[in-house]
Amino acid sequence: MADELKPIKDAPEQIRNIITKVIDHEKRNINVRRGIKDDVIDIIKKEIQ
Amino acid sequence: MKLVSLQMCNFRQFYGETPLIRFATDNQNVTVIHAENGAGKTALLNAFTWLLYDSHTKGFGSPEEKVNKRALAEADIGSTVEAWVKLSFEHNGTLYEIRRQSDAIKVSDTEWSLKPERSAQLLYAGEDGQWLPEEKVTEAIGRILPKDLHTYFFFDGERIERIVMPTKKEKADLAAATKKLLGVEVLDRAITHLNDARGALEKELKRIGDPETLLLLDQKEAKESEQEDLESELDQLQTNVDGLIESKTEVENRLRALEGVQDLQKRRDQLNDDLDARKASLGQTQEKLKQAIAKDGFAVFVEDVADDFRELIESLRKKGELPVGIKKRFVQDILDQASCICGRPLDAEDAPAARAAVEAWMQKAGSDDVEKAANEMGILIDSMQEKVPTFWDTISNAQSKEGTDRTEISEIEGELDDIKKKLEGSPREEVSSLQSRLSKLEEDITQTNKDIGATDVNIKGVSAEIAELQEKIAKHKGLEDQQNLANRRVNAAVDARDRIKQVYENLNERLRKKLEESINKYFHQISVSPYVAKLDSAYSLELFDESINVPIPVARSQGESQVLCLSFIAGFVDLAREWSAQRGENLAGPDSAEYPIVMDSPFGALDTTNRRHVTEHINRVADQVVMMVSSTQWRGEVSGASAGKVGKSYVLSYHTPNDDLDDKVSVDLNGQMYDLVRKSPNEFEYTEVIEVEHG
Repeated sequence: MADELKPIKDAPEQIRNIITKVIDHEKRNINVRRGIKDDVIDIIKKEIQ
Repeated sequence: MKLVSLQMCNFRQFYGETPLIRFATDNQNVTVIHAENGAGKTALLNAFTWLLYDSHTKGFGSPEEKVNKRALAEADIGSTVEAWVKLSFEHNGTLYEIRRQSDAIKVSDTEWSLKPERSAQLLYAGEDGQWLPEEKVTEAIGRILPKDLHTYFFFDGERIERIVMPTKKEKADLAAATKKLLGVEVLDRAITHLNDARGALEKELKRIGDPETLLLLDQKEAKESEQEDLESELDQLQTNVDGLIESKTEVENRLRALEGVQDLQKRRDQLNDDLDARKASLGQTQEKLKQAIAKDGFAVFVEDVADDFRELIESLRKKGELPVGIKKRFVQDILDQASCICGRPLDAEDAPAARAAVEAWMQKAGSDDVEKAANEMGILIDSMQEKVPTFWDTISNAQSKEGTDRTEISEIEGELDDIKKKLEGSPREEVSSLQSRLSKLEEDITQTNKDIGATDVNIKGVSAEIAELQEKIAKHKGLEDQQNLANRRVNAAVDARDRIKQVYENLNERLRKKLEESINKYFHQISVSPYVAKLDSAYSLELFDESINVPIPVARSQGESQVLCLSFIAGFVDLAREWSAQRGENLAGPDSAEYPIVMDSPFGALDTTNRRHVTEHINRVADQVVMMVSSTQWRGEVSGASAGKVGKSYVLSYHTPNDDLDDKVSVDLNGQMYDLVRKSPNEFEYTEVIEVEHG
């Protein structure tokens, strides 16, 4: 695993989950311009309760 | 993207439907298109750029006129003549076909009107072999090979300079497109959207937060707005300095072209180069001074302490305390064993007197630690003192070098000042006004650079204040659970954003370094020049001479620029391949790493050696190479070095109505003669595509 990813690897579990879910969401919606912010808020709210 | 075939119909010089131009792949991946000037090389290059990106290269005159003149002349008045280009290509195992069309209506025998151009149509082959339409053509092509990068893959060799000397905007586009193609864009978007989410979550926190939270959030908001203003100010200043530098180059070029002052301007160019070299040398000398002082400077200050130490040791020796006669450890061991070396018992009960006598030695015995430390310290002090003369030599040499550099710099600046005064005082108004303008531009550049530095410092200061406020908000515990939950969510958004940002910066830096390494690998394979290519963080590509200690930027020849551009492409393709292979562990990466390059006149400005070197390596520059060459460009060294690499060849046979054509112009390919230029059977010029037989 590349060292460049260390800041993510070292993150607490909840933060790592948010990062993984946000990046997966971005990959699936690479050409979508609107509405992504709200999806990201949902991801954070679901993870931090 | 793997090119399969291209077909054109009534597109520019190409009358009627051309045969399919099939592109070479695999081991013999080079496709050569032979054509004389004006026969359609540039039109063919533009068939690609128009079709895929709706753009044209600079050498493509009257770009709106796509329809072939002969086809228009032969059409009935009122009828529509279509010009189209169709390309088949593969990407990620899927076959695509893209087609773009331009129509003209014949109004009279000499006039026609152009219909608005239609959008390109992109089809892809579904799993059952059925052609399906791709709705978002621009986005789909952009994902395969971004528009901002297309000039690196479809280019005119004779106009290559622009590619390796991009403007600030072009550099920014190149950096963005490189990241897009390599898949890092996903992270960029994640950072933006997490930051937007952070803003929205902060608003929620503000609605329910206590007064202290509100105060901190207001302060942070104000600082963020200040940071935004400063960043746009910095951007404006950088644009200004770019514009000023461009204007300065323009004025210098005009002075270079003026009769009577050319020599002065040339001398000034030379002096400016010398000044850069001297300043670089001064920088290196100062660095050397700094390092010498940091490493050995302390040795000068220990001389007095060294004398004290020696005095102390000497007095210990005189007292007989050094070297230590009997060691404490030895006495202690005897006492522990309760038996003397002579065999007498030393236990406290049976032989108290003997034990007391030996115990008394403990007071007289020296510590071996003291002796060891004294010895080690002595060696250290000797080595420190040995350093002193060498240190002073280094300092003295560096200071003398610094003095020489400063004198030289001052002399060069004096001569530059004289030239400036001469030009300013020139009786020729044109000369004096150009020089005044140049002086003003130089002042403005200096001032703008100072402003850039100051703004940069301000931005860093404000960023630190924002981070501090963010930390205070994160640590602040509210009374309500609801507020604490909202605060935790804001903190999670900030933490996730900052971690992705760090990874993004790490990956960008790795990408840039890898790209630079790959560029140099190809540059040194192709070019005979000893220079080293450096790609800075703004994606500016420069050549440096590293034969002396301080790398000095060198002015590139057109040939070097061309080789540098090819090396950039080859390096880029290499990097994309590697990145794609490591996709799983990199979070991001391109879908596919197969790229073609299409070059018009790739040997434009190269000398014989570079032509041969480029040809020898051309098949490795990209997965597929399409090059368009004239008969003079396809000379012995090129055709010889390309043996075994060319899988497909075509001739663009130009038919001219010109009566002056005495003889046909032909080229011998694989033992057969092909006409490059021949007499047209009618009054029209047009080009026919002929496939060359490969034996």
